Amino acid sequence: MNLWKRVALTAIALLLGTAIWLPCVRFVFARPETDYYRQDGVPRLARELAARQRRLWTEPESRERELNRMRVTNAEWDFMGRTFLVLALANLSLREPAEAENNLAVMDLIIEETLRLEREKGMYFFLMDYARSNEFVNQPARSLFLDGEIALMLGARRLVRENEEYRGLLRERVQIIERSIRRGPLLAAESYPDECWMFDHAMALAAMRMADTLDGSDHSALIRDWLATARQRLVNVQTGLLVSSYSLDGDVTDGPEGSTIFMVAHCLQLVDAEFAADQYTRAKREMGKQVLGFGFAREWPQSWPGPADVDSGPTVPVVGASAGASGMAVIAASAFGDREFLASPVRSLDLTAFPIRRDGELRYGASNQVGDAALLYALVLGPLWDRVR
Amino acid sequence: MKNWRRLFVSAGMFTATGLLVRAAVLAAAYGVAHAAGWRAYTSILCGTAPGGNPKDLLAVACGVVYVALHFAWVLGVPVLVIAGLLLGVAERWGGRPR
Repeated sequence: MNLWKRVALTAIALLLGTAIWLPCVRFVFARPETDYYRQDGVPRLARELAARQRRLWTEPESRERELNRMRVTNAEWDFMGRTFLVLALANLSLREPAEAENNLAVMDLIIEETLRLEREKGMYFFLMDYARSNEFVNQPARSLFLDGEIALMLGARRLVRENEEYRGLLRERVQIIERSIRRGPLLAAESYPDECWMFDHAMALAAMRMADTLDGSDHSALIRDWLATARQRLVNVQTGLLVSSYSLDGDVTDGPEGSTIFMVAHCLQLVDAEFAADQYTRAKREMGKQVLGFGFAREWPQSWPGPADVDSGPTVPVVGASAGASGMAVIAASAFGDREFLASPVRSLDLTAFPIRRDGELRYGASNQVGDAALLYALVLGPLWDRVR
Repeated sequence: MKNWRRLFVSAGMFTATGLLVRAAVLAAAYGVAHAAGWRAYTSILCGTAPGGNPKDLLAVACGVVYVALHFAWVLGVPVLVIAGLLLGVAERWGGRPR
């Protein structure tokens, strides 16, 4: 057999091998649905993730090492990791009341530590450095990013079990949010100087709904007005999706983004279920993708291409898969009961996120504390929102 | 070790044995990287420095090599094995390569 014939035969064999193997890879990474989705009880992956997250917060050394590792890149991740973990632990407590005591202890530790840092180091401690590059337009300066998520943490904790100290703190925080949002005609509050984020507004509205449920307050008028303004001024025409960031005057900076819109849709479930479902359907159509049974989400829709940034994480060239958007897509798929789509990004996690198991604990090598906490939240969400709806 | 090197070279690029040997080499390399604990360095994918120091280029290199070997193991090795088996059948049917 001459060389050229051998080369041709090898190439054909490799092509056939590829054609045979690629469609089979999904089966190697298939796992039972009960590992990642359960109406009641706790899925196996969630149990393992929670064990590691709880240990991080109860071992000061591990916690400091992990949080510092993230803060080098983005101080926001430190803060958001706290929020997602508190939300996850609240859901875990409602799913398994026998474990509530342990979870509440960690939730309180996180909340108290977060409030202490905010009090001692100021809001800039949890913001990216560019927050200091300009003055906040509205004074005194407040960041809706912090106010909204702290209110959400307080509300989540109280929905599991009442805490008198947190009652006043939540009321105070929601009043601040309401004042900030009502200051302008667009009903927008800054997270960074003259920078308003849809993600933070959606989280803040969810926190208001929690406060209404817990304390009998009524923010329905503000929520109704905000929704009307958002529909009119903050929806991208091509996709029908809410944009990600804008100025106080309503000038859009970033269009719809995967790392924003999926979480926004989930929070809007507490505010306007129909609008939320519509946003999820559109977001999935524009940004949810599946290749050979592996699911992921793009950061940007085709009609609004943008660069990889600190929110998206690195994106995979050609397909445009984004770690940040994919993580949020898992949350939304779980929240909207989209079990068919949910299976595919979970499968991708096993292929591309490098699970590391030790002593009954799970973390993803390619992730960090905030990524793992967001995933944990995705796997256990449900009961907390049900208490508010 | 010498035998392996001889086998790697003498098997040739375009033979069934050559493909199977390359699959074995990739699998072994992945096994070594895995045993060395390089999986933990894949946090570079989410923009988080593996050891907390973004200037630690060795840690970043470990992460990059691990990711490459992981995909070689998951995607490349099975393709090489299937192709090697198919080529083996073809060689038997069409005569051994000289």
